[in-house]
Formats: sequence, structure tokens, C-alpha cells
Amino acid sequence: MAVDVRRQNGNVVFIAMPAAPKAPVLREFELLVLMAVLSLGDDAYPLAIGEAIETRTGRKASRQAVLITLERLKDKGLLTSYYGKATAARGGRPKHIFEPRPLARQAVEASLERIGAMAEGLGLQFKPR
Amino acid sequence: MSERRGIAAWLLHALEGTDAAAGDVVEELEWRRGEGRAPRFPRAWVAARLWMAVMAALALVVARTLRTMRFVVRDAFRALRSTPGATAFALVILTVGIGAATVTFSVVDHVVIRSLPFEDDERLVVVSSGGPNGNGPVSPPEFFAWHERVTAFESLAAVGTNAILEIPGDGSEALSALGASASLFDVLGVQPLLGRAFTEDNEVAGRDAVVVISHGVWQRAFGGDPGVVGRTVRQTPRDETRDRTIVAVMPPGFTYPYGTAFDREAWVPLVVPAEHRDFRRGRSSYLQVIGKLRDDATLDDAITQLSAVSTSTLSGLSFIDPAEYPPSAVPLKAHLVGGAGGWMLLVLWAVVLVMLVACVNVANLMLARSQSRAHELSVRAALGASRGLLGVSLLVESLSLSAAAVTLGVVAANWGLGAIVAALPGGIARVDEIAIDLRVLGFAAGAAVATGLFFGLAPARQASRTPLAESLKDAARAATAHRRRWRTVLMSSQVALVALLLVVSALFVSSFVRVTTADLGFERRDLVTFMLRGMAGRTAEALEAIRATPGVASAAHLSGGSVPLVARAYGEGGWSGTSFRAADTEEGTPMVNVNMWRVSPELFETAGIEIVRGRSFAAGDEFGQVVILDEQAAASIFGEGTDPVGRSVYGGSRPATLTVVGVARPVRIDGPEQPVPAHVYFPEVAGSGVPSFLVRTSRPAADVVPMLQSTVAELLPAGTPPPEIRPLDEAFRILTAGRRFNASLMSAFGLVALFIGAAGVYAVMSSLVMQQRRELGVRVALGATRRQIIAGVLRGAAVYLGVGLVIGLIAGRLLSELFASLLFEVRPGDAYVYAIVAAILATVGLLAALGPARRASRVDPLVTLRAE
Repeated sequence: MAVDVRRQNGNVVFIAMPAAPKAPVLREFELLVLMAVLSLGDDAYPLAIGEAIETRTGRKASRQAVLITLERLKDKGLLTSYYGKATAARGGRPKHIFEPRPLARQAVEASLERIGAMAEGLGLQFKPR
Repeated sequence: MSERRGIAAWLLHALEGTDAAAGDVVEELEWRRGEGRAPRFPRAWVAARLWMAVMAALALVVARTLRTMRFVVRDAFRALRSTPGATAFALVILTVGIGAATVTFSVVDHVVIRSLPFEDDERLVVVSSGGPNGNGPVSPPEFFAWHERVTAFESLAAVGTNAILEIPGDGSEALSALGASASLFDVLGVQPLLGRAFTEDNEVAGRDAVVVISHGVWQRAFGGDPGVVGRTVRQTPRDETRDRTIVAVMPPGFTYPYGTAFDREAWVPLVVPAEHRDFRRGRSSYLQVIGKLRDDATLDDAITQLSAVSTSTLSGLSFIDPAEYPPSAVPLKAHLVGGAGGWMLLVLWAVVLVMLVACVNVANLMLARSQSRAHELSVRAALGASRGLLGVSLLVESLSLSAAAVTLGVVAANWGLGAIVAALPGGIARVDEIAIDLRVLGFAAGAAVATGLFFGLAPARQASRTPLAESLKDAARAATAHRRRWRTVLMSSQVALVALLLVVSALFVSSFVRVTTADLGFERRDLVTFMLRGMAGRTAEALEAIRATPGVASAAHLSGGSVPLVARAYGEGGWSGTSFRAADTEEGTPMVNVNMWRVSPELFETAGIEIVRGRSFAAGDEFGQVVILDEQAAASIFGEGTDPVGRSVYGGSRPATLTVVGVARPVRIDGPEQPVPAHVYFPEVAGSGVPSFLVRTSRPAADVVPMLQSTVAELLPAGTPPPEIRPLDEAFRILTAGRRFNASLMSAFGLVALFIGAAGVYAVMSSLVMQQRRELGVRVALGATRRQIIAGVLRGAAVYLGVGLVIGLIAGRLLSELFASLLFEVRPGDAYVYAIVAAILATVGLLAALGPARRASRVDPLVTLRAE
């Protein structure tokens, strides 16, 4: 709980305000999934997210692991989801699209900052694949 | 898709609500085909993918559920911790209720409910012979006749006689073996573990030197020797010693008779002496008979056949009329349970009532708690918490409370069970089996869940249904009329349950008081009895010495039957019977069966038996000339209202004409609750049998007994063990132990329920006063006095108490008809019982409401109205 101090009508008034929510700490796979969601935009559904991770990182990402991680990120308040239109390519079944919430970008940035802070001074060299 | 994929897809849809995951699999397959990486077995590949998705969905559901439950449980414990006083109070009440219920169920389950450990135990029946003293042992001729001619039984067996065996080993062990017919093992459906049981061929003298031993004896005395069959044990009947060969070992746990305090561990063939095979020497009855009904036969069929065979077997005998005393057949379980079954089941119902009272009390408490948390719950709901989840949280709170209560209750029950079992009256079967086992724990767990749901559902329902807007209003007005009505209904229900329990308790306590104050026909206080063996011909000398003992007011002796109360209390002795008719009636007039005593003249004065007509025996009265009848015998022989003094009776074991010199009041020889058989008295015959002595003490019996013991010790021949001197008060206490235990238990339950009920009334009235403090403030401001406020609150309490009381008393009256047979000289409709209960409950209830009423009268209108 945060307290805001103001002057109103000559009086000092203390107003209690709920504190700004803190972005939760992400695990490695959660970070990758979240970043995939951010990069895929409207096309962020589990199959595409898994393929994006495999393609860009070379790391195997099973559909089940992706599904479970997406639901966990929803429970943490970082994602929402909705069902898109059904398509013939999917046998008339809809896509389960995941959307980042405002806190998602903050969580990714915080994680990358932590990694960067630990990497500073180590002389490591890394670049995107 | 294949059948397997169909099921997987269906499951996915059920778990997730859509086919999106299945759509991903389809899209990936098409993408792989486009990339030229199509799976070799596409159907299997798709099926595998779908099932993996199902597993993932299931894992998500489980994880979410566990997370939710963790939250719910944490919330429940936080709520319980926030009001430690109320939580502790609820915990104590529930623990008492569940603990008492667990102990009671354990006892009742083991003694009354559980099946017997025999095959087809529901078909096993105990058969008894009829007689003036009720049904009892069977004579051998009757047993043989039944065995031969009653077809309702698949098999019939008899046990009787005893043989003392010496088991070899370190320090020989003496074992009491029971004589049993070979058919016993067939009736019970038991096969030996080793060897073969004896047969009918062994039931003949000379071929009966065999024995069947129990598993325990086999292990204990023979070390589990697999070659035990063929070994011998020694029997020592009187001065003859002979060996018996072990022919079989019974399986573990087998014993017969079953359920007694003393387990039989050896069985020998029952050999009936020739003189007992007919009635030439009278009717010697000493066999216990058990049979197994045929599948297609009923108990009534068996009784009809037994009666018919008994009638033809006993016809023509002078000493019994078989039509007047037919045999009886009772299921073995009912025979073992006996009279205890009725009152034990009643006690179980009573403890269930106590649990209900506890539950209603805690339900009221939980309603009050949810009411006080209404604002908090509404805010949480407004912030997005699911109403259903809040309701589940309250329910988990209740279940956690009852889980804690059942844990404590089971610990308390385990601790208290030994004391309860020790306090049980004697003669109850299977007492040594009573324990807290899995079945009892299952009952306790079920009771915990039931009570948790019972008192948790109301507040949970309230929390999930009360409109948000309404509960977000001022907290003081959050007590809606609906919620207040719930609490007053619960309070009235609680009062009704307590009233019901108090009615039952009062009826049983009343019965107990009637039993203990019943007129036995003699004065049992300061009266002791003992038997003197080895004193043949010295009865007069013994009587003189006993009378000279300090503290002895008078003494007498009797024989031919047990002293009143002793036979039934200690299971010793018995009765002799004979029959008479009025001497001036014609030959062929039906004889009246009576019990008999031979007594010294002082018996009536010593025992306090009143002579209502005529006189007692005098010094010159001789056996075979005079007789004293009791009122029942006089009415049966001469008719009601006739004075038999001076008239004569004809009959007896050596038929003769005797003059009636007196009429005595009937004596309840088997206690206040047993039928009173007709009785006659003869003057004592010197040297006849082993006399029993009755001594009236001028001081408390306990003070005189040591002096009597030293007197008796001087009289007895050297080496004769001293007799046990028994106060008749002690015999009476043994006979009434069941009633005493029952009354004590019902009283305890009534008191506990009364306490819980009073606490409930106090809590509800306190809560109502709190909610109405605005109105009370206004009334005080308008001039109401303290007395008027108190009267108003008590009037309100009286209404709820009155409603509950009326319902409870009506329910008690209706329910009491069901156990009317268990009452003694008390009718279910006796008005004084209900008046007492109403007075007690009204007084306690109003006293409980007095505290809140006085608090209400001290409301300061300035404080309450300003706060509003």
C-alpha cells in the first residue's frame, strides 16, 4: 500500500493508494514463450509459439510444455487469451490466441535486465541466431 | 480421425471447452506434409499428439485445483485463527459430540451389530426348554427327540458337562473342556485345522477318550507341533485318571460358547449317562442346544415342530405340563446380545442426538461468524472473487473444524474406551472384542464429514447467494431478516433436540429409580448369605453359633433352592419345583407348578418376608405335614380371594396331603424385573442338602462380615475352604447394573446436551441483542426501564424456547412408544416426566438468556444512536 500526501483546502491530507503491481519473476522457458507471444502478435497460438522458439533458438519446445507455460503465464496475469475464427486448414477448428497484458513487456524487460546485469563484466559475447 | 483419436479429441473438448488443441495437431500434420516431413504412420502420430495434449490439459486442471484448494484451505485456517475463542468453543463441542459417538458406536457395533464369526450365522438358533422359571437348559431325552424328529433344522447340537484336562508342559495347565455332541462343528460350519473332529461313534462311554483342542492351546502347550494329533492329555475326573487322545486342532479364533468372558479351549464328546436318557429319575436339564435352520425353514417352523415334539415327549409326566411351558428358539446373535441390544441401540440414538445438538450449535456459531464477515466477503466478491469459491472456503472452514474435532475425538475415545468398557454391566457378550478399529474409524470419519457439511452448508449457501449490494450496506443492518430467521430456527431446533433427549433420559432415570425402590417382597438391606458345605447334620449348631456372633440380629437357613437374587446375580444354584392341587378337588384336576424352599422357622422374620395370613412355622412343625403358600400359589391353587389357611393341598415329589398354616407375600427371587413364580415353603428337614444361611445384621453388613467369617471358620472341618459371604445388596447391585449403567449414560448425555443447548441459547440471544441495539437504544431513550428491557428480551427468548420445547416434547412422546418395553413401571405418557423436562429446560434456557438480557438493559442510547 502506498501513501500519497497532498494539501487540500489548507489541510494536509494523506491518501492511501494501492501500490503499483510488480512484474513476476520469469523462468527461462516462460521468458522464451512470452517473448514469442510478443513477437507473433495476432498469430500467437500454441503451435506457432512452439515453432517460433524451435526455429529461433534451436531448442525443442513440446506442444504440451508450451501449453502449460502459456496457462501458467495467464495465471500470473501476464497473458489473456481468446478463440479466433475456425479455418479449413485446421479442420474447421479455431485457434487459441494469446495476447500479452501490459505487465508482460515489463516482466520481459526486467528479466533481460537481470541477465544483462549478471553478464556485465564477464566479457561474454552473444548475438541473435 | 480414428476411434482412439475420437476419444482423445472428446476428452480434450471436455477439459478445455474447445477443439483448438485438436486443431493445432491437424495444422501441424498438414504443415509437415507440406515440408515433406509427413509422419510415417499419420493416424498413430495424430493419436499420440492428441493424447499428449489430453495429459497436458489434465495436468493443468490438477495444478489449478490444487492451487485453488491451497488458497481455500489457507483462507479457512486464517478465518479460524482470527477468532480463537469461538473456534476453540466449537472445537470442544464437536470433540465431545464426535468422541462420545465414536465410543458408543464402537461398543454397540461390536456387541450388537456385527455378525458372528460363524458360517451362515443368521441361521444359527439357540433352543431352550420351557419351565416355571422361564426358558433354560434342555434335558437329554428332549434333545434326542428333537434331534430325531424336528426337520426344520439342518443339524442340531448340544453342549453340557465339563471335564478337567491337564495339559502337559512347563507346570501343567488345567483346562476345562466342554462336552459337546459331534454335530456341533457341523452346526457352526467349522472344519478343523488339523486332524478330524470326533463323530457320533465317540458319544458312547468307552469310545469317548478323545479331545479337540483350540489353536491357542496347540500353540501354547504344544509349541505348534504339526504332529500334535495323536498325542494325549490327562483327564482327572474324581479319583479316576485316564488319557484322552487329541484328534483335531481347531482354526485360530474358534471358540464355543462364543462371546462369554471365559473362552473354552477344548471339546470332548458329550456322553449322556443311561439314567438321564429317560425321565424315570425325573427331568435333569443341563444341556445348551444350538441348531442351524434349513435354508427353507423359518424360526416359526422350528418352534412349532419343537413344541409338538416336546408335548409328545413330556406328556404323562406329573411334574410339568408341556403345553403350559413350550420350548423357545432364539437366533444365536439375539441370544448373545440378550436384553442389552435394546438399550444399547437406544444409547446409540441418544448419542446421535447429542451430536445433532452439537452440530446445530456450531451451525449457529458459523452463521454468526459468516454474518460478521459478510462485509469482508462482499468486498472480496466485488473485487472479483468467485461467490462459489467463497462458499467453498466457508465449507472448508467447517470441514477443517470437524476434521480437527474427529482427530481429537478419536484420541479421546481411545483413551476413554477402556473406562467405558470396564463400567459396562456384566454378562454382555463380545465385550473383550470392543476396540477402535478401521470400521469405527470409518464411522468417526463419516460423522466428521456429515457434521462439517451440516453446520457448514448454511453459512456457505448464505455467502454464495446474498446480493452484493445488500451486504455492502451498513454492517449493522447486514443481519437480514432471513439470516436472523435461520438462527432462531436453529435455536428452536436445538431446544427441541435437547427436550427430546431429556425426555428419553428422564424416562430411563425414572425406570431406574422404580427398579431400585421396587418392593422385592423381602428386605435386602443388612442381609447377607452364604453356603456351608461339609456341615451335614450340624445345621442347628451352626445356626446357634452364627446367632451368637456380635452384630447378628437374626439368622435362618434354607435349602431346596437359591437365596433370592443370588441365582440370577451370580449364575449359581437354581430352583427346585413341585406341583400341588387343592386336596378337596378331584383326582385329575390340573396341578399347579410351584418353586419350593425348605426353611427354618426364623426365615420369614430374618428375611423380612411378611406373613399376611395365618402363621409362620413353629418349632414343632414337621416336613410332610404343613406348608406355607405365597399369595400367588394360594390364588392359583384355591382361587383369588380365598383364605387357604386351615385347608389342605395334595401333591409334592412324594404325593401327600399337607395343611396350609400361612400365606406369605410373593418374593421376587430373580429381581424386580423378572416374573415372580409361585412359591411354597416347607419346614426344614435335618441333613437335607447343603443349606444356605441368611443373616440379618444389626450394623452395616460390611462391619459384621469379618466376624461372621471367623465364626464360620471355626465351624467348618479342617481344610474346608471358607464360603463367600455375600450381602444381598451386592447381588441387587449386580442385577440392576444394566439399568444403572443405562440411566447414568442417558443422564450424562442429557447433561451434555443441556449444557450445549444453554450455550447455544446464550450465543444466539447475545447476537440478537447486538443486532438490535439501535432499537434498544431508542426504547431506552423513550423511557423504557431496565426491567422492561430485560422482560422484553426474555419474552423473545421464551417464544423460541417454547416452540422448541413443544416440538421436542411431542417428538419425545411419540418416540417413547418405540422403547416402552425397556421401561419399568413407567409409562411413556406419564405427565410428570414431561413437566419436569419442561421446567428444567425453560429454567436453564431463560437463565442462559438472562445474561444477554441484562446486557441489553445496559445499552446507552447516546452511544448507540450516535454511532448510527
